[in-house]
Amino acid sequence: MQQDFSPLSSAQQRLWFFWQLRPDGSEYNVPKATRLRGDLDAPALERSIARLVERHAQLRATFPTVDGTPVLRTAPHATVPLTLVDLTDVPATARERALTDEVDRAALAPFDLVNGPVFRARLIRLATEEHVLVLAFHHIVVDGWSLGIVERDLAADYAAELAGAPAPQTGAPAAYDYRDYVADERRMLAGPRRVEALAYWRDRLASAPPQLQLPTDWPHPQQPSHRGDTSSFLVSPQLGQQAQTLATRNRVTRFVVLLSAYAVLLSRLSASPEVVIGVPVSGRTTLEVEGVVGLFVNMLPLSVRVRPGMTFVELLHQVRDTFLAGHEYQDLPFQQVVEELQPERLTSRHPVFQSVFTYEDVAAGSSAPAGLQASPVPIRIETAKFELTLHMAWSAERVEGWVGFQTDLFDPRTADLLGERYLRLLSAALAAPDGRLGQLPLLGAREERTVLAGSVSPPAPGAESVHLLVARQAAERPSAVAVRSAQQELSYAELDRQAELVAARLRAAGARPGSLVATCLPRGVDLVVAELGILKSGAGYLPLDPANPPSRLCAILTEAAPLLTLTDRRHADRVDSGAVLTLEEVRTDRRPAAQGERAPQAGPADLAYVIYTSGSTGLPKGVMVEHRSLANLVAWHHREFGIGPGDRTTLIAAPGFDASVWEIWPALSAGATLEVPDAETVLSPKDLTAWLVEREVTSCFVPTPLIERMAEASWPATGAPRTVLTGGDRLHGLGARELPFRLVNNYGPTESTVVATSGTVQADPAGRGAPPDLGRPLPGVEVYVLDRELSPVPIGMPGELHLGGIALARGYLGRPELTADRFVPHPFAATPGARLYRTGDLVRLRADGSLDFLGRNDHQLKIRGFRIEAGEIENVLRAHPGVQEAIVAATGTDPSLTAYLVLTDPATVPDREELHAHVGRRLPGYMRPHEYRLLSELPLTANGKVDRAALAEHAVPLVGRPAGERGVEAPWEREIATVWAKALGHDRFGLQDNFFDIGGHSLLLATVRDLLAQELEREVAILTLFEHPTVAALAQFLGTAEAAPAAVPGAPAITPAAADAAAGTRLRRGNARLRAMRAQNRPASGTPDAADRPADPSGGRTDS
Amino acid sequence: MFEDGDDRQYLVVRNHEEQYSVWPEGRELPAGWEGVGVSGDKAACLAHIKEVWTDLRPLSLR
Repeated sequence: MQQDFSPLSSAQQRLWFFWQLRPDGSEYNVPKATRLRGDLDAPALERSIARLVERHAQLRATFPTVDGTPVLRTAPHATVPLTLVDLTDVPATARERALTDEVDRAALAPFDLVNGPVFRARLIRLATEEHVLVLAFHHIVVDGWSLGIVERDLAADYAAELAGAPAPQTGAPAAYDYRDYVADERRMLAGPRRVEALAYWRDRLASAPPQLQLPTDWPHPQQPSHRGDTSSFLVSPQLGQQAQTLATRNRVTRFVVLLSAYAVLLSRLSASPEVVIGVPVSGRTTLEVEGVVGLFVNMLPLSVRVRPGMTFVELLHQVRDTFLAGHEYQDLPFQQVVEELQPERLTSRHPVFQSVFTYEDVAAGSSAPAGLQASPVPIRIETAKFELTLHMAWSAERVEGWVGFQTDLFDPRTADLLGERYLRLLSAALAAPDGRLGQLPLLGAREERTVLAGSVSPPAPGAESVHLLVARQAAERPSAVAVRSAQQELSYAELDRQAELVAARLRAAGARPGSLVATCLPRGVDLVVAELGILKSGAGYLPLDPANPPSRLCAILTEAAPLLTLTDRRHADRVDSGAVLTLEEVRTDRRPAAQGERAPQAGPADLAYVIYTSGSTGLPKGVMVEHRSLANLVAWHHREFGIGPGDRTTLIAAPGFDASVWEIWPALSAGATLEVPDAETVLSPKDLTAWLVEREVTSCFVPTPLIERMAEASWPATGAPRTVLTGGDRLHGLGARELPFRLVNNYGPTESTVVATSGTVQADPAGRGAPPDLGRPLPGVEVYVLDRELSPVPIGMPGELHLGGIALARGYLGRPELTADRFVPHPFAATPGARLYRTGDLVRLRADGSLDFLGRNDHQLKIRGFRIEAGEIENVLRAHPGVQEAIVAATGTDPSLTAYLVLTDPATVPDREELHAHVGRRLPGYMRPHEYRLLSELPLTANGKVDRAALAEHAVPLVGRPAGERGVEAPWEREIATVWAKALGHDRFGLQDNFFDIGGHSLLLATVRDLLAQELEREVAILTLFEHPTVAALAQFLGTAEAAPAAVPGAPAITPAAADAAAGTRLRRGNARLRAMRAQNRPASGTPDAADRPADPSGGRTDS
Repeated sequence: MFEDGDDRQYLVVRNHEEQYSVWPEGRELPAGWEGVGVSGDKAACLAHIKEVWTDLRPLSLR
């Protein structure tokens, strides 16, 4: 029976491989359910199905392996029974529910490709004259086109059976066999045609982006679950008519019109002038295969260039030409294109394209079996092979669209929005086909109102200046403690008295509204006295940290030229520029305070403080903030966090950073007690945690990196603060951990008065790993997310954050040109002459009005032309059990990636190769760090941000074993290398070479597995081979798995579950989420298929 | 917009508080702003502003 075995077609090999990886998956099931009303002859239907199986050899196919290679075996005869399920006894109210369950079961149950059958049929009886017929196939033997053949043949056979006639002549030529197709394909692949086709695709895709950078709701998971959902929309008849008219006028098909609009949508959403869209084609290039059931469909990776200056008509012509040219090469299996063009393997994303467009013409009047009325039954599709699919179905009655999406990445709401935007673009393009593409609207009226609303609520009305509020507290509760450190404490009355003394001296020295007085005092009680005194004098304060290098202090003092610098005897020598006044002098001054004339008070528009921040040019710049902005911050804080007398808050931030502004004034103006920890305590997350509990602090601000560490501390059952505010850096998700306090994430540049947006961090019980958002704008703060043309970008899309409103700083002290550059005319302002501050931060607006931080405009890493989000690599590194913290930076003149790591346990240094393999398993080559360097801890700047500039300084390289120098020595390495050489047909590789880089491909893995089974006398899962693509990694894995006590007793096979258990033993704290991810570790699907179709009611065909 | 080294031409503009900024030439100027008759690349415009904007206080405070 040797003649019964044939190789698989290229597309079948791929599906076979995926089935090997996930035999229980249902994403490659192709089901079809039809409701049949009328007098059904079930035995006749069963005989018709038997005829169908007899006629179409692929429905009798199985796929066993022979010598490690899958083969296509076609049984001479096979029976597919028509299983009858009777639901007539189920109560009418429960019947539809029972029907859905039955349909799902029949449609989505897995297939056994090795033993068959690959096709099942089920008849569900609902009533005497009402049935549902479910046919389900594995995709390896059918495509969308095949379903049409099945439907037609079944109707014809049924009619013949009823009439007692012999089997009708159908379109399937008895002579043709799918095996002929396989043979043709092999001949083509061995010949010059393959080379020519590959050359075409290589050229066509040369400039295409490696990945579609679509904004997603959730980060790309390391291992996609392929769970999916769909959102549908209807195209109005008028719009359909317009599309038809434009198509006719331009001699293109409707498919081209609808695809072009999709390309515009993807291009706009990904901000990329070129997009690659997968488009299924029938693959049936000869007449004789027209009536053959089998897998012929292929995917064309169509690259579409969308220039904003182009017209829609121009785009139509380009898409048509691109499609026709690609169509010429549709006989080259897509898998070949992948292996030629994208050896960079990213297991979590589909190669070459991530989005698909499908189109079908739904034939009018489907072929229902004789005497029966047929209507489609929707099948709930819960999987999605592609990240995003637009499926358009065109019939005489209606034009319908489905957005299919992976729920790992998108929320249903976003899919709805995508459908809306597609329709908006399409209708605008059809209305003005000769207009510029760049002007097509993406935003709807409602969305435009949202993105242009600017602020959520108006500023606090009539907010008073902070020093007046503090004075009121002093009058109302003089004996309450205002500020306390380990050394001293001041009551409100005493604070007020001392500050008045300072103010009096300053006024005598010439201080008044508009002038500037510096402080050079450490964090502490005196600093608070000094700052309050300065405000009372009418002047603004400029806090300098005495811990700063003298050169920096001097540079700032020289530029700012304050009236004088207020310091104490200990720090006076730090100030070598301008006049100096010490607090000791103020306190010993026995001169009576000036009486008589009332001192001028600072107004809302007067300067409250100046904070110096580091500038991108390296020169610090002084941000001038006015009283009204500070008052607005304080009023919001009081309303939002409800602090008052009896509350204890903290002063943790170093002087000179605006977090200290936020710490001091809301507390003192509310009558709370400001607790000041000493310098030692602030440096230790553990000590600080204990101190907060001991001081019974109720609300505090802790910089981001510090709170991430403190969140891991064991907090006592009681005594944790009520509220913890954080900010300063990107907050990473704290996982599903329940925190004993309300954690509030905040964002704001100094130029917008400390805080621009704020939001309470929600726990992430689902463990989706999305970093917490930045919250929503404060009252009076306007946020706009704008593109390069200063146009608002749609919700969900990245843009530069621009801030407006009452919190805007006046500008940079003494730097008019810098001020003019960063504070620009406000194009959307309600009040004329207003300004917007360009933050340089990339964010996106979420549908609920909150912001997501995406990165800095100017710190984007670019390696070999790839745009790289360092955070993505950092997250992968942090997922390694040996790594606690990771920062990735581009280093060198020809930039390469360096990963700076803080280890979980400094004594356990991870193996460089193993670490590299860990990264390599999750990221493409261009995102893998070239160098790993170790740090004992991340260097932080004085205000708690990661000090990127200091990373290189303290890091030591993680040295690996030189790959070339090491011979085969570890157990298993020789055996594995032997097997590889056999499978690859050469032995020119080293122990560290990636299987996929030296000629290996996924299908060879099965061979490797079988050879290994012989060589090692043990089973190794293909998944394991995929995850450990070097000889060294695999050998190490096998060694570990052997040693692991968690290996399933009595089961010699290394299953993915055992591998997972082995990996799990290395995890700290039994991280369940990490384990779950490892368990799901598997490569992405890539399939030459179009059947990603939601509840597709018809077996239509593609318009190709 | 406003990128350093872009090849756009900008105008030097000023509002009622005599705050200065730059605005791309040929685009509609937001309400409350007017050109001061100086244009050029961004660096030239900013250099001009450095010369003329000597008091950063809003006009109403001076």
